Amino acid sequence: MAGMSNTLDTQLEALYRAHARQVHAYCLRRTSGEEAKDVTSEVFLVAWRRIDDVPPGDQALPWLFGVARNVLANRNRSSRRHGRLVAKASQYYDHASPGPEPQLVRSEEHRQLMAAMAQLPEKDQEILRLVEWEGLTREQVAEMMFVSRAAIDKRISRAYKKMARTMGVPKTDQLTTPVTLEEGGGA
Amino acid sequence: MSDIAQMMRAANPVPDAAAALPDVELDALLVLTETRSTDMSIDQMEKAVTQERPPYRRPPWLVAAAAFVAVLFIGVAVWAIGFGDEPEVVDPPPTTQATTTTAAPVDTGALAAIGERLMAAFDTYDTDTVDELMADDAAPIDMFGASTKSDVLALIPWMDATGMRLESPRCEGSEPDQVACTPLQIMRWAAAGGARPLEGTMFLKIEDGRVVAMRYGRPAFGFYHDRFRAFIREADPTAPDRMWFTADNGEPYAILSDESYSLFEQYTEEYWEFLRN
Repeated sequence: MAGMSNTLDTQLEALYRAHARQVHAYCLRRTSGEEAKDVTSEVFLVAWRRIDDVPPGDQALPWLFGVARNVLANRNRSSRRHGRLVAKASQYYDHASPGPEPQLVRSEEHRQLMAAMAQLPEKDQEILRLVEWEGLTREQVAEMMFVSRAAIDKRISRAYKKMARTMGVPKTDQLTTPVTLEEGGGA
Repeated sequence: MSDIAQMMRAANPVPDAAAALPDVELDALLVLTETRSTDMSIDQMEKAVTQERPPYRRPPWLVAAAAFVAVLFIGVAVWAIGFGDEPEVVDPPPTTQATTTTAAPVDTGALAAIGERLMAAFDTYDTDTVDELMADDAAPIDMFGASTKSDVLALIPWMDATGMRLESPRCEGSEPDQVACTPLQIMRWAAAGGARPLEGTMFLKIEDGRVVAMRYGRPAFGFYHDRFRAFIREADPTAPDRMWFTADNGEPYAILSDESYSLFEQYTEEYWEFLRN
């Protein structure tokens, strides 16, 4: 980037270029647009300070998500506010614009889905978000959460079954099929 | 949608990360981050993360709940109570009186040694030595919310459980019967999130070889309130009453009990590993 100064070293810039969008998307899925940028900036400030602690390779992104999660947790004063902001961000950043009819269907589906998800333990919600929205592999999530891969599989399977029951959706075989990175949504 | 997983993916509120942060905004955010990194001191950066709360007054004590031995006010007490920006002594120095003019010379080195022993006992969670060095009617002030000797003794296993350290204290005589110790204060749950240690000053009044009063001075900058809140939310969101409770002033108070010690120990470890990984 033109004008990149000496103070922000090339290591950080490389980290930033590689992951800033995913970190920003992570934040945007959990808070408002402006705050998402601010938190993203804070995350890389922390990374800048602790550049030697940032793990290399595939683990850098989960590490950054962990920092972002912590920064957001510091900022979120209540789960209700958090929920409102997520809903707001969700509406604002609906870039897919699928058109009136699908949008209506999706909205109800989305509402039901979010309501079902809200009944899950917070940790399970976060695991689902990390896998399905952030695109982390289950191994990465397991590392991030400091649990085994099998535990992540079990939690996801259990969460989907519970959500399906809540929503009245027929159970399918896919509910217990592990989702790989390629299958995951993510950024 | 054929299944919940697909519905989840379709419900992604930010399906396109690149569209949410176009190139120009990506560059602008980098410049902003760069500016913040150069404009802000490390201390300011810490504050930006921790969002220090205004100081509060002395904490109340939990007197209910037979299961709980005591209540530790954590939210603000650790660093924000009591002392102003300028160090104070535990008690006003005694007025010079004729009867004291013949007092033996004070061995400030011996007082400092007592102070350093006490601080080392805190840092090694040595309850017996703290018990030995504190007078039974010792009066702690602003000591993490402890106001009696028994409170202080109950605090030590909590410090152990949460990995709180008062590291490498140096003590120096500040008055004929007082010493000031300057430990480096480390909280594992805050350090896990990148928070730096805090410098504090503990003033001790010593009589007959025992500490009769102690007061913990405000460190260089504030308590990591928000980090603590983040920690306890992460640690025990479903059963906060077992580890902490929210007082009427909205601040979280850690509970000191055998159960909370083990819970704090467990969750501190998990939190540490979670953030580190």
